Amino acid sequence: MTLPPLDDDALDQLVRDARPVASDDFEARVFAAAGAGSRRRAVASAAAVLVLAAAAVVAIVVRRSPEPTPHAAGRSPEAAASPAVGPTVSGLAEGSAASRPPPATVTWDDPGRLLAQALAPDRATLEACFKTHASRTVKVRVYMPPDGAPASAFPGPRASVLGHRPLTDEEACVDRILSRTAPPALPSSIRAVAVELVLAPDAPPAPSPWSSEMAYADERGPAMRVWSDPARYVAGLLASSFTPKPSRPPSTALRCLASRGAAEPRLGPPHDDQDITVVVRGRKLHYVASSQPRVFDHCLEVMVAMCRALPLPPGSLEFELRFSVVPGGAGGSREPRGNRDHSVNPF
Amino acid sequence: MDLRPEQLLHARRGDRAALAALVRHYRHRVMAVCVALAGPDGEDCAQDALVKVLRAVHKFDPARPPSLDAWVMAITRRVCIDRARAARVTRHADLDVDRLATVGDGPVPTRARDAAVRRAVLALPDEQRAVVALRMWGELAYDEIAELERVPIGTVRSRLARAREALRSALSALDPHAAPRTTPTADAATSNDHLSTGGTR
Repeated sequence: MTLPPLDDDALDQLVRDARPVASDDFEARVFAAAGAGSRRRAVASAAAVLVLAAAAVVAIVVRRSPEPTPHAAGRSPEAAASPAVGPTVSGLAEGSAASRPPPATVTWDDPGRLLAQALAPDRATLEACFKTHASRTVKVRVYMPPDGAPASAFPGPRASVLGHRPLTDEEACVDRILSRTAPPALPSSIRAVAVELVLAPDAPPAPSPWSSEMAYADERGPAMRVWSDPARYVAGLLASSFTPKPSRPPSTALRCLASRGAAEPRLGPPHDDQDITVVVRGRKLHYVASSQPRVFDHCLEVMVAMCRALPLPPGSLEFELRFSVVPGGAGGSREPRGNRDHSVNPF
Repeated sequence: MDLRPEQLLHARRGDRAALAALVRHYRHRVMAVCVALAGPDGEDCAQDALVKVLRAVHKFDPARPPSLDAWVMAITRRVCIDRARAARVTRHADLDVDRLATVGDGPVPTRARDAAVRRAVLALPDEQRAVVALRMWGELAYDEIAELERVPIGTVRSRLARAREALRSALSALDPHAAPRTTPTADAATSNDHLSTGGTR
């Protein structure tokens, strides 16, 4: 049986009847995406964000101190005195501060501890924010921009977009305290960092940070190693070759930055005026184009999006990194190729 | 369900219920156009397009052209084409058209016929497919399609005419009782990876 010959109207009706339709939950997903996107923008407008949860901090500590010495798990005296405020994993374990050597100067290798130190004078006020729910454990994701005061990641009062709510009194209290905290400046290659603080006045002590580190090292060895230096790892990924399409020869994302016939450039530590920014979210990489489009922006958007990273450390959501472009030939040798070559060090 | 003028006004002011009505009003059209233009990424594109619509609706001026329909479809088209270009290797053969729901979602022979029609639409060359999608699934007028595609209105008509001929040819041997993948148009669906590369097979 075949269809009778179709005139234009009948054919049009046939095509209209075959129109695909959205699923039942499509509307909900649109609104969820609208809300999530606006939250991301709100955070990004405050500062470019590297979200590094406590496990990533642990990874950095492990990289710096491969031997599990007591000092590796050292804490600041302020933090040791009060375990109520601290980052989830890297944080402030129980134990005698007197039995440990004096802690070295805390650096951005351990953002959690840095924030805990910066918040130490306000710890009592922070706990007071949650007095009405003293037994409740509250996790606060705190973003620290390159300079300026940290900010919490509560639903933003500035956002009037779909899916947002104003801050509760407790959240506003935490936000107020964070806004007057002044941790030291970030290293130049990291745009911002976020750690998770746990406010749990009545909670049992956190596990030893060193045992957490070892567990993490056992389970996620390769990922831990690469994410101990996010800038180096991502730069290596962008310099690694891959095949964007079966019919094309292997290429690298950095080819987008090369002039015709010139050697492939390299990525280096950021400068003031010629940096490119890459966000790692999940396993995907995203190039952040500048507000004034450049000739290589679209190429980089496409090529960077084709790169895949190893999974982020547990609890991490995003890294935002920036690099400068070193013209090809300036450094002498070309970078080695291959996606599996994570030993590339462009710095 | 039609979108009432006062709902558009409220939507422009950010009223949640009015925005929801806006999404409900356009979701099927946007989804259909995205499936036609972006293939397997159609659903993601439709979501992105409507998110952009929600974020920009406050800037829409109903007193000036384009119409709201054309404005929404312009955003949809741009999002889908950008996505298809970024994906580089879009293969519409990956899209399981048999599983896409349709307005009627009727008995099996009807669903098989609808799937065959969709495959035939997806097998059209880029330019014809865009015109068919915008006209029949996006419900735009000829002049609005001409504006979107940046071609004369006569070109829109001729593309539509050629598309109708191709569809008529593809569907002439359609057996509504046959399994969708055994219909003659299935061949077209498995060889239509030219869709994102500008081919005119």
